[in-house]
Amino acid sequence: MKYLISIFMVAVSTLTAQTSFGIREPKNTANISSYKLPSWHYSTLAFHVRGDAIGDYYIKDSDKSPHSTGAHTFFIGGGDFLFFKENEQQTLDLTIGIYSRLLAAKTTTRYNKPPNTKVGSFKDYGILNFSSGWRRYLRHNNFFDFNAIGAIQRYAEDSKTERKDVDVKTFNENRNINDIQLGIGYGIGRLRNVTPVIQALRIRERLSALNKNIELTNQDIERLAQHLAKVSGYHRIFDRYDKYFWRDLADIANMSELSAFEQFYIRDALLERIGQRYHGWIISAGLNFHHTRNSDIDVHHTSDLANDMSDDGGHISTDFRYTKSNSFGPYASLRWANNFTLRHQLSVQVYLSLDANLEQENRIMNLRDSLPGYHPIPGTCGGIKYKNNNSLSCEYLWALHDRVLWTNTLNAELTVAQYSVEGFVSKPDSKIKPSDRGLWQNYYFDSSFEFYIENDFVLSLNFRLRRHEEKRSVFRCTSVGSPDYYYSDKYGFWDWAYNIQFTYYLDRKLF
Amino acid sequence: MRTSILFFLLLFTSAFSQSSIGFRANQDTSPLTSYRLPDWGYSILSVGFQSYGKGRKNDDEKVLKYHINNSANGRFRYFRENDARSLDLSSLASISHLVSKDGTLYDMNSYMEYGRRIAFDGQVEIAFDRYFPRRRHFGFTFFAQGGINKDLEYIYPSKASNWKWEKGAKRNRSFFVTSRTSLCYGFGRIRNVTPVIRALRFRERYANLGRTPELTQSQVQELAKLFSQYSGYNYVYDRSDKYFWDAAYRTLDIDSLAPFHVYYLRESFLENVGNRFEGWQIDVQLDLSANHYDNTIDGYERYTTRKIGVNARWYKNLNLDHQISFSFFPGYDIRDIPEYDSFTTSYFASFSHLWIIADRLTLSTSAWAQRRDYNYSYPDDLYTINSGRNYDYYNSHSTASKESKGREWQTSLSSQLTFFFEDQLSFSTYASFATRGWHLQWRVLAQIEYYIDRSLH
Repeated sequence: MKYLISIFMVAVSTLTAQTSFGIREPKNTANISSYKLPSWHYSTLAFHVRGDAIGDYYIKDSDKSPHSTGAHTFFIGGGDFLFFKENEQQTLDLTIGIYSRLLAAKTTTRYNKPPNTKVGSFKDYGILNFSSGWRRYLRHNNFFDFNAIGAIQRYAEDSKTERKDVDVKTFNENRNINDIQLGIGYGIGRLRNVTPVIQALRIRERLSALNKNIELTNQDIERLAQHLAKVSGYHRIFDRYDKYFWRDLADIANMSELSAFEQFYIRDALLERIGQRYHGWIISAGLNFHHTRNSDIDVHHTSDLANDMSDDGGHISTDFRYTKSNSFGPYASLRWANNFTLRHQLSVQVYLSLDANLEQENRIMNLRDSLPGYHPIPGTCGGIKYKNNNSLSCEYLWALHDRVLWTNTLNAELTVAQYSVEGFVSKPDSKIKPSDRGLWQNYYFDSSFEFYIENDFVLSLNFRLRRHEEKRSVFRCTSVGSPDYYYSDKYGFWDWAYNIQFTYYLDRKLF
Repeated sequence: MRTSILFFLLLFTSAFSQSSIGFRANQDTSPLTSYRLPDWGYSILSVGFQSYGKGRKNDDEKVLKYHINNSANGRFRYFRENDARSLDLSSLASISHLVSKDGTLYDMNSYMEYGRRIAFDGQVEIAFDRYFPRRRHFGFTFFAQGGINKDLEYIYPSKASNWKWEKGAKRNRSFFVTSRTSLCYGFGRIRNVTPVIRALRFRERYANLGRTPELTQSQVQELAKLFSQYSGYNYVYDRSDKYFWDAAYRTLDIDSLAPFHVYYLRESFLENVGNRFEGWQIDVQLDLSANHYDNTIDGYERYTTRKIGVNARWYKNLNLDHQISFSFFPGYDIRDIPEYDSFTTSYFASFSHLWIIADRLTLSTSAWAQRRDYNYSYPDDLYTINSGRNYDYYNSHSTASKESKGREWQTSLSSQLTFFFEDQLSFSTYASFATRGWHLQWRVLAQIEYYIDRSLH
């Protein structure tokens, strides 16, 4: 034990003995508050194709070795377009991807007797995904937000399974998916990602530790931070982006000729554990709209060859699922983050929203040749009239750069839902009185601590404590003739989890 | 179609038109044949502790369910290598303690299970190579190789399970020892010359930057020796780049460089140069392995394997862009497993060709064939044996017998082509054809990623 305490004391004493970590003036946050976003943009237009064909055959059958033979081909082709633009007046992020997929397969399975032969294909005629976010500042700190996320998919599948002299089964599926979310809002304030500023300050500290007489002014720090903010763009545009990124950075930091050790020592500033850092505040409010329309039709057809019933058309079964919903509602959000010093950050995030279902349709039907007409399939049904989501998150972060990172987060989430109960009866033998309201509560606390001394020592601690409570109503649609009913259910739990990892290198040398 | 052909021709010609691609003097293979391993090594001694746990208490149950695992370990690794010998020793000692309480109290099947387990684990692995360059018989270098791998695990559960309706807990102690010993004696010498190829690529990139004077052959050799230590730097340092490249530039007497140059030269490590070897070896190898398993419920079991074989391998870099290799392994394999014994004689032969225009085009082709004569013994009622070896053997109830003899041929032919044009195009294609007895398998794969536009402003 005494030995362990000694190790820890040595480790802790080195905390303040080295000049390569920390920041000399941790209380000076002027660089953070004066930081302005760079004016830059990038775009990519790419085309991807992949084809794959696999075959698997047995030339000679053997009853001793039951097997599966066949071949399948797969093709996927498409393209995507990315555009990102950022400056102090606006941020625009646009992604569009279009893909088509095709698979065709023929497989004979000999595990069963008689063997099955299956021929099938599926086609994704098209998958379109898009997402965009646009924030435009008008005057002073007023802005409006627009965002859209969507996916459209057309899918078809056909297969035929034949058991020689027994039966033939065919299956056809057609699926359409349409999902679009739109949001528009107005707000005031500014919240900037200032992680690049912290990294720029750390580069200054590391340059200073090298005694190269390279002193960066506050203007240099701002330009350096603006360059570091573009790292994701370099990543997107170049396969091996390091050489371009550090070439451009060297021009700003006046570090054109350094030794290899010095250059990689400077680069290590970007590997340091400093967390995600923000500064400023934003209050915004707006409207969200969500449209979903999905349909799926499955047709199963069976011809009984064994009883010579192939001429009568066989048995047909059709399943039809259809979901449509349009929801609409207001939202309000608040984000605030403050770096009291370069080592301490406190942030708060609040989000409130109300979604009202303007239209909701949820049908599951079945058509069988033995019964005329479509029949609802018993199962889960019903819907929510409106839902109110509220969340609050507070985080405290302490970073002693490249040595200690400690984050603590407290989250509270509360969701209230109002169900649509028209046409449903309450379940008579319910233990809990059926209610047309649902309530979800989730509270959790996360703490993460990391202590690191390069090449010597790593200690990381993570802990989570959570409380969850839930009261919800379950709606059941029954077969024809029985009333649809609902009942309430509730449960709650506490849970916790932790993880501790410690590694200490007593000896680590290269010779 | 014409546009596609023109496009491909343009790409292909550009493969040779850039000075940063390939080698200017690709016929000179003397750096590969004169390369000798450096005398270097590393040692690491560490202690560690891990603990993880999770717990949950549902409102309608009065019980806290949890799972907590604590373990502590000590590790030691020592590696030493030079042209005459190498030694790689690694060892691990660990102790772990697990406590858990789990179950459900919802319905008639409710139960609660407690678990507690202490496990001790020790592993030792030693591998050594010794070459005798001065004891030359018929002009060949003789060598001896060996390895020992011991793994010992002892599990002592003080309470294995305690069901709600069961009084008294069963205690199950188990003891598991894995042992593998390998001895090898032969002549000839194969060296991994990938570091030399990387050093030569570094020289090409260095020249392409317009830096003078060009690196000499001796500097290339020194650099190659350092490049062969790359894994050691990664083991010994968390952020190894600064130490590794500092050593590289000190080897070349270069004080400072522009950042673009540093990172451009570092890309010699990102290029696909393949795994490159030079030389030949013929050896006789004996492998002995035994697993002992003992626990208080199942009793004692032992599995042993003995294998003797001859390995013959030959690698030749015809020039810096082309490498061919042949190998031939005849072997005899005896496995002694409870209720299942086998004797296998196998002959394996392979050929491969690698063509690389560094950082631009890679074409690798390989072909191999294997013949196995086998003799299995197993009980009548065994339905399926998934032996965990190189094959799965199925046998139905109706045809099961106590012995199965047979001969099986396996062949394979595969080829892979990749074409990489930095920031613009990546194209790869793969084709393979394989047989195993009467079973045929083939695969064709192709993929293209082409950037029509990629710009940053």
